[in-house]
Amino acid sequence: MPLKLGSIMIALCLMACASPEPPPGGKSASGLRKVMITEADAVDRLRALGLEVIVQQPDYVVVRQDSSHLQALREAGITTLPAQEADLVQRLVRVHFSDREQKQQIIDMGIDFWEQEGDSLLARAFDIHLSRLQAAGIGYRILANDASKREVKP
Amino acid sequence: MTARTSLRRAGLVAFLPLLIIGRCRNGDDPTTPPAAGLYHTFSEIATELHGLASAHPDLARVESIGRSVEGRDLWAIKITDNVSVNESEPVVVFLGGHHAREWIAVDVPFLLAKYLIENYNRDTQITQRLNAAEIWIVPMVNPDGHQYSVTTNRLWRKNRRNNGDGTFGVDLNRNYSYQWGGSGSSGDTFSEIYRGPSPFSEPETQAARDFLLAKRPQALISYHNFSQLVLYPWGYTHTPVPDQPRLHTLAVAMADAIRAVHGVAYTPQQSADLYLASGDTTDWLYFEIGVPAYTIELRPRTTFPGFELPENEIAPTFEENLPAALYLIDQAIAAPTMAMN
Repeated sequence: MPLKLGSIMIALCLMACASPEPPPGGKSASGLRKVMITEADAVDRLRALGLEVIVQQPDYVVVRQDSSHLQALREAGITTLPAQEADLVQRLVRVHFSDREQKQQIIDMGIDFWEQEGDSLLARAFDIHLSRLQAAGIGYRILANDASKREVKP
Repeated sequence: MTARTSLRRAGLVAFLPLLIIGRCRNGDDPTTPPAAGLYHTFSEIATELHGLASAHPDLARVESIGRSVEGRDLWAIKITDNVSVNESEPVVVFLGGHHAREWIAVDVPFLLAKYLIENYNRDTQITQRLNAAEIWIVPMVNPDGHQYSVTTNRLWRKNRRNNGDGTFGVDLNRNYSYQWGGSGSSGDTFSEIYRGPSPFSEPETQAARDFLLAKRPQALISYHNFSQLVLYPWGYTHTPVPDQPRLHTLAVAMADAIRAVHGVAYTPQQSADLYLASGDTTDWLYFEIGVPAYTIELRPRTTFPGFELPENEIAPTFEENLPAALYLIDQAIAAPTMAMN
């Protein structure tokens, strides 16, 4: 009896540790999901279903999914997995801007601003940010595919 | 199995969850404490602050102003003569470590606390300052994020809120209520500048808010890095604050004091001149009580080395920032009501 009770308590504790309480507004049906890439057109298919691609790596993508996508994903035979923090790779980028307003437009996209150098800024960005920059006609250059790996030298 | 063994085993099983909770809450393995070299970790800061207070009980007192998402204490140290008495003296607050990866922004306010305490009754001017003012220092506002930066991801910025969608973290310096949700913050949970689901949604910013409203400081510095800037409100708009000339004059004086030490230039400017950012500490404090509130972006100037400032720059960064901090304390003592009219 004590053993059984103890096991239940351990399980509860592990659950609590693995998932600290989400905020009241958190939606369990939506979130970031990982999709392994097995076909060349996988990313296009995901975009066609209305999913936002947050990160695109050679072997997987991380998409933002909400409840409206569930049925479409099921019908398309696409399986998604919970995204892990390690999946959320960011690029180190140099972004060029023309004036103060455009610089602010870039920051408001949600990128991680690090430094301004003349009319460009250094930042960390997810692929969705790069898509937003491209859509806005703002030029950028990827300096490192994984900003955390410090591949770039000054 | 004897009855005694069975009881012992059952007791151990019942006790295990408590051990697991303790481990998970702190994220620390007590057998291999995380190390940040000469930079201070959460547990090291806690130990050092308590050690300073124990060694100087008439001059320093440590208290927790609240707890983080994962249950760590936000330690504050009060430094003044007659520390156990609430004297009617101007209060100056120094905050550090809103952003996890900015390790130097923890060590500078910690070293300031240590310097003030250890030079009382040794340096006449420090003694006079501590006799005339009440200094509060909170070196690590974001202990969970800092710990995660030490153990797992050096470039982590936010706190460790589980956003419930596969992402973690709220940018604490976008979570204060004044102009929350405006430019320079993001509603995307994965963004490094995610502002949180609502103003003051985070226990860390709630603790800072309650602490600052209770103390009503005459002046404040919130340390960050990097870029070498002395920033003052507003951050959310390019419009200057009503007493912009005064805030700018103080910022210039602090930048001059910094440069005089090692010749390193910090640029004094309105925060919005860098870029618009809303929901930050200094805009909120200035709006609430109208006192000079500064963000000092410490060394280095550029991305390389960026957040990873070499350890041999900890001491000079503190040394050059010391006179700026003392200058602001002096201003609070000279004009004990620094609030804008």
